[in-house]
Amino acid sequence: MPPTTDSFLDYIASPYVLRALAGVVLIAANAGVSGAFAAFRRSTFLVSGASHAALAGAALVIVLETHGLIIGVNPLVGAALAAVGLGLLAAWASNRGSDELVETAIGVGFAFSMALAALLMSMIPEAATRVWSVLLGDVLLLTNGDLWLMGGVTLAVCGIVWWFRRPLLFITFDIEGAKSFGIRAGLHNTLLFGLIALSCAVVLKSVGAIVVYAMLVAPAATALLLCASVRRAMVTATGIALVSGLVAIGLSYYVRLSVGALAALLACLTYFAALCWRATSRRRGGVA
Amino acid sequence: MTGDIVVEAVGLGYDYVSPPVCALRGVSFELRRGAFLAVMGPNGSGKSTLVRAVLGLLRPTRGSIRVAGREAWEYRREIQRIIGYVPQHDSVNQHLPMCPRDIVGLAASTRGVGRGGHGNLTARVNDALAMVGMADLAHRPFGSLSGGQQQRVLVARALVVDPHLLLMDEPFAGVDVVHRNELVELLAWLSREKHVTVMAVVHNINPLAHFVDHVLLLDNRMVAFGTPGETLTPELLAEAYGAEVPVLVCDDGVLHPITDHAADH
Repeated sequence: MPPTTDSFLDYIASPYVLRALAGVVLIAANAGVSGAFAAFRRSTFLVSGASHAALAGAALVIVLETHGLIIGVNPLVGAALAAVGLGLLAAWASNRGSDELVETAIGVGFAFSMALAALLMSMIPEAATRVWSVLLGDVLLLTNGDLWLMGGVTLAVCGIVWWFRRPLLFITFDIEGAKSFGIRAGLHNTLLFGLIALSCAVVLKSVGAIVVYAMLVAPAATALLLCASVRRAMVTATGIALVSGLVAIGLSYYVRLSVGALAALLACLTYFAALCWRATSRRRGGVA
Repeated sequence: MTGDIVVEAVGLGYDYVSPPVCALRGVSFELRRGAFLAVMGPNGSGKSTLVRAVLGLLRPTRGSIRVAGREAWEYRREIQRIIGYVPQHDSVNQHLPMCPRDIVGLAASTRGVGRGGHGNLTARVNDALAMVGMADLAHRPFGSLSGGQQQRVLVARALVVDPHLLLMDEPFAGVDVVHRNELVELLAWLSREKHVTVMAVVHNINPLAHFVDHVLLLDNRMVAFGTPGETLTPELLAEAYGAEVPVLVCDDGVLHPITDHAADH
């Protein structure tokens, strides 16, 4: 929770808010890339599953650290490993060509992760608040170390998606057609699932496992309702996540509420507004 | 001439491991350059398995399949470069915000069209869309197009890479009669004038019956391969479909089997 400050500008210029602003930019970048691809290929449940797997990974690092078994490891590293693990499991199911198997693999991974996280929290009551902070998240509590890690991974995710944009788009549109064009569809599918899962881990500490879905998927889902091109949808998703985050930080000066939850609420409201606009436009015959 | 043979299957067979199912056995045929083949058979008769084998996506468990003189599985990267594959329009993602121009352009750039003297990418994309009558709808979202229009976009995507072999899986599903006839004429023109070998998996052969050179009847094995006159007989159709299939003869003397799907048209 932010301390009281004299003016809005002093508040914005304070180090923890500046770090939060940088965090919001990175969240928006992940929403525009990984969130968009998750929405494009209707794999949004992966975001939910991976963010909760990331929670279990972070909790494990915290437990091991509390027991002195590891030192100086950022919980985000554990979060990333666990999330990518679930992403790879989902990719394996997807490569077998069964959507039902994908849903089941993610669902079981989701439940396993939550059970593991609860178990780990009961093992370390003295450090349970640290795990709770990962579950709920707070963009105002990001450290410089968190930002460097988030920045590096976000840059890597965006760079890889840019480099492989053609095969990734092709498999998202038509996986059998992609194979017939000589694209290693299984490999690229695995890469895409891994990157989406990695993004979930990246934004975990900022917004918390519970609302990662809202910050990554809601902006992309809104963009899909409004945009007719991939590029425009990705830019719009980035913009919606960015504006939601910035407005939430601005509001946090006036109201002592969780910035992550506020941002998620705004992103979701944008989605509902777009849905209403789309429905009324259709009724008027304005949208195809 | 062996050099003219585009597809050659010899005793081709494929067994799935899990669950253990014999999808195909004893399939032998050859297609020369510019030939037009319709592949027919009931659901689960191995048609899709054959398509995947031709594309080099499956390694035959028996026999062999060669495309342009090369084993499809061993040389899949090379042979895929000369194949244009058209899937069923309802198997592709309807929600991706892409227009026909983007979709055909993505295929063209994936194959390197427009690079290294392979012609201008935009012009090739426009030509391919014009060929299937989709130039006017090139900027419409793919998901908002009708089934027939979507199918034509997928045909344009296959044509943009100048294929030697056009491989189509149910190309007429969801296509209205007018556009279906246009598509059939386009395929016949490609086969006869451009010498593109066309291999189309169909439930209903009637739209193609006047144009195809060969018919392959499958029922997890090769029931028959030959000209329409040789293969579309009540006896062979009954063997393939496991039920009596009436056959009509039109004024041109062409055989038209009345399968359930044919009755819909």
